[in-house]
Amino acid sequence: MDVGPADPNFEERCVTNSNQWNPDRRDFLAQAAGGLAAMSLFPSILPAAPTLAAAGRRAPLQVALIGAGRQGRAMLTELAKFEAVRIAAICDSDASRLESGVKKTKDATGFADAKALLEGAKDVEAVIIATPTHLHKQIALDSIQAGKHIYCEAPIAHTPEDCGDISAAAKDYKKVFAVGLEGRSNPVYSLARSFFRAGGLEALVSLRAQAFQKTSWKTPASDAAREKALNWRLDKDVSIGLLGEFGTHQIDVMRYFADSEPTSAMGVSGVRVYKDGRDVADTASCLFKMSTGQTLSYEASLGNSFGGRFEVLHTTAAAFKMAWTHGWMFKEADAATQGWEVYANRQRFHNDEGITLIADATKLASQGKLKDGVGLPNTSLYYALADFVKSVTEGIPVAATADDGAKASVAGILANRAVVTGNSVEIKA
Amino acid sequence: MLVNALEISSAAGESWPPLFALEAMGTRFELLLPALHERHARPIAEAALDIIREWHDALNAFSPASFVGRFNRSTPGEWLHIDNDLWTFLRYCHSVWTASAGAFDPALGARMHDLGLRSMKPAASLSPPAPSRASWGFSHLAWNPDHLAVARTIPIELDFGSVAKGWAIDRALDELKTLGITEALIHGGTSTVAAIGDGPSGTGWHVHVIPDLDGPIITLRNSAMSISSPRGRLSDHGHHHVIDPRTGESARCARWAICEATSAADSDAWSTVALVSGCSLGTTAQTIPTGVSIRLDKHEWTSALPTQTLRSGV
Repeated sequence: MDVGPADPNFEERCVTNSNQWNPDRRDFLAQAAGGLAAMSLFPSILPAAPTLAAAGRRAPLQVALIGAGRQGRAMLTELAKFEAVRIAAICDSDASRLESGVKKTKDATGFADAKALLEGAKDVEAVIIATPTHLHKQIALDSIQAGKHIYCEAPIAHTPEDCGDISAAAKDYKKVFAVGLEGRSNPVYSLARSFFRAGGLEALVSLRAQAFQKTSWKTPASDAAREKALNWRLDKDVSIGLLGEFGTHQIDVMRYFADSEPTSAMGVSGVRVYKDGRDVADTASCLFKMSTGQTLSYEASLGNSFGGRFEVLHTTAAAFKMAWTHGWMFKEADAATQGWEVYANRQRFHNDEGITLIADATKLASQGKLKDGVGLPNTSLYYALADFVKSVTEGIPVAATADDGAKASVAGILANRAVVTGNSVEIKA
Repeated sequence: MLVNALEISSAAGESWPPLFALEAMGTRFELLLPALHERHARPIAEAALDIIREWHDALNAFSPASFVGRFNRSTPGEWLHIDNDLWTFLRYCHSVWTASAGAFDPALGARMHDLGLRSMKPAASLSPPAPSRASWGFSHLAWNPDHLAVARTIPIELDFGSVAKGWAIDRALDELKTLGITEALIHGGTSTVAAIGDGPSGTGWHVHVIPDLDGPIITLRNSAMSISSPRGRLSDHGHHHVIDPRTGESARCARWAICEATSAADSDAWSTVALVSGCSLGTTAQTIPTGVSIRLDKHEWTSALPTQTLRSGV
């Protein structure tokens, strides 16, 4: 029996399907001893790509991409991998980006305006919103009005009010409304989450995350008039900063793993690196209090790339580190030992040794290819988009709902306010 | 290679001309934007280097999520759907493969693996399998233009090491030109270099190629050049990395081949073709494209030559 991260009954089916599995048992790992017992719980955790056959369709889903910037381009690359998808239309108000996006497809029609696309591209069944964050709301509401299935990038909006409006509009929407919180579709995260939750939520000690990359966040424009529009992330009137743009995704990972909501945030931020007149911080530190009592320590910077982007959950038995395409479990010396660890792939990190979390480990182990499974065979974005397409074409439940998107986005937005003002900010869903 | 930008840099101070770098495709790309102050140059350089990173993500043979990773583990006959950018790249490769009569072949990955040229730790105790045309060859790539999909008909493995850097550099140059840049120099691992404009001195960008082997000085103006050489790491069996697709063995070839062209992809690919083809270059069925010029070292390469990587001065 296959179980997978997109299955809404994933845990329940595991509970009923195997005597070896009980997410509430703190001694799960010990009881999993014996050959590959633990890994055999995941016979095929890698979800299949959306196909026409699985969808029972003869024609591919007609999709429109709104926003053909860097993220939009990455989406086109991933969507092109699905035989069940045809990119029918692309929209961007920047002519150069629009041309580049259209060129990436076989025969998409280009639009410079989202409303024109929604009115003109009648064959479009689903829209993907990848515009600047502050433009999401109107496009999302217009797309709902037009009756399209919707995938909206996270953060879903730049103010808590807009997040609320989108969430409310999506609440009783009869079509799919999914949010691009990729951690919820990522097979490595699903695998790590299952191990984490097997240890019991009460074992959680603390949370930590970072997003470090070396980039100016500045977008060059061939046309000076486009400069301001393209550099919306550095426009303090609409930008939600590092906490909003990066933090939203990572806060949601913690929500997803620990069933815990941030309740307050405090921190500092500043322009440490790029003295080019900007007033949106390039470096920030924030401490969240979580509803379950722990703290989430968060750092982000555009001035250094060391460590990249990752999240760590410390429990009394192990630490789980997730870095989007890779995941590791670092066990405490006094944690129970399992037989399958003998077969596990390991990586050394200074004084610590991480057990590599590998999706489809059982299958790979049986083929003697366990090492080949290190790292996801597709990008995190691929799995999020695959889930969306399958929600539309196969009816699987949405991986990240508008409500998830709103809660995570509001936390990111308010945390940004905290680090900008230096005040503690209460976070209410 | 030594580029005149070095002297400019030391004469004008550390911060000029702005130099930006990216680790990708197993090497280091560097971009010089001499006409701009660092503050203005950085976002432009980031945009250009982002394009290279995107191509790295697509063509990296060692990443399971790349197109090459997916292709190389796909079941023969399984169609892989791709975007039009990647399709265009593959068709370009097909055109060079055809024009070179097979001397350029990006489907040699499996054979390179057999020869111990794809692994950091080749199996020293095993002799490589005898060449078998059943394990390589671009002819075993199937095309579906209606759905932009490709498949391998037998378990060939792709390796775009002889063209990927050049192709990515061309796309980065496209971006720079779109952004109005009139002076730039970019190289990937010092084996492929391309220039926009006449260089800061107005006399072109002067590149001294492998000076320790009496290589020439080449002047670039809105053009590109690449060098191919068997030098570099040898496998435990003594194979160098320039494989002759006609035999499946390391090519018997000159110490270096240099190709100048208007595009970096052409210079990258045709420098390999030159090395593999040797004296038969341009004869038989090969059609060298207009604008491509090639120089071959008169000396034959031997494994007694030093195997350090090519000297870099950029």
